[in-house]
Amino acid sequence: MGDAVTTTGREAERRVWTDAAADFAAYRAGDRDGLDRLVHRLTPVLWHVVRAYGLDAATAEDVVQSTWLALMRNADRVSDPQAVGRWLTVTARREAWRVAKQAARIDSHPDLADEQLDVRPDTGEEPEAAVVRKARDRALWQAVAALPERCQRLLRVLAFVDRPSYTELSAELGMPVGGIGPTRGRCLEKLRAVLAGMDWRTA
Amino acid sequence: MSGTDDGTPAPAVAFDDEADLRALRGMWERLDPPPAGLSTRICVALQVEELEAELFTMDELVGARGEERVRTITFSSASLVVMITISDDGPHARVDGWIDEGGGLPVELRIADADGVHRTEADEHGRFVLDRLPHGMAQLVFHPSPARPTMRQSVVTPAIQI
Repeated sequence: MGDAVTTTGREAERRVWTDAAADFAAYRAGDRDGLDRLVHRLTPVLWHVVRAYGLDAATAEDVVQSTWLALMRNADRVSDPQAVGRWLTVTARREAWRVAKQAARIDSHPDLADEQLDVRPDTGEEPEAAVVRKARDRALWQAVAALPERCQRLLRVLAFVDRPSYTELSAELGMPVGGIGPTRGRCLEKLRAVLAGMDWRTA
Repeated sequence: MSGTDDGTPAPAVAFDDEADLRALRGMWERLDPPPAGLSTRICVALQVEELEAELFTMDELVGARGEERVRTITFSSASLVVMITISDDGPHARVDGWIDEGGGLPVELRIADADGVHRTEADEHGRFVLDRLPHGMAQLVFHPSPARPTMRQSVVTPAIQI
């Protein structure tokens, strides 16, 4: 179902984590700008991870910000710079989960406003390609909305975090650690079934 | 379907879970991106926390100069008063500012999702100019400096659109 994604794209996604480790190592060594670089690099990932818990935008923003404040206060405890990405995503998920349980702020997969499809300016994309992509994005969004909530959350976390902590995920989703791999497979199968019903592949 | 990581073709019947997750990732990145300026707001929040900085309060006036809309904003804190006007400079933005008794004080402007931090210094009358700026959400930051011995901590403005 995926568009052809080049190896370069995949490598770029992985490089984010190694670059993040380098930023954090620089910050720990006294380069204050390292922290700002790290914030710019990983805030988008943390945003998506937090939104996976169905928090509204304002609450999600607060959770992302408090995650960074927590890192700054606990920077000494993250002993290995390589671990900073995991530390941040686990902290963000823990906080998002706590807030989501506490307040009934779940907005699990809101209806997509028409304008939302047009917010991003298309850069250098052929108009036809842009139309096709928008139609596909919209179909994918609607298909995800048809999935059970825990599938929605699991897929969004897995889409953005290379190897999330399965221990935490299993507690949040109320399933054994060994169940996450198969659940991911089942959630993707459900997604494909919904998309097949929508004629998505030929859209 | 795409092949697997090591270049071998994916099994004929199997769907490629990794490719599907990447398609989902792209969709979420396009349809539910982080709010504009989030990273920069966080950087400033970290700085405020780190320096135990003060936050300015702000007062905005919108007026006109000829054809042009000019916004004047006054920022006040216990240790500093800063007034700026924001205008368009062709495709860029321009900020003219004045700091009370601010001669020689370094001025830092952080612009969201742009090329980072713009720096200058107030002249002996407390005036400063930052021009050829990209548009975006921006925050001014003033750090303690020998030029202003009474200022004990950094002062940060709320985010403004320039």
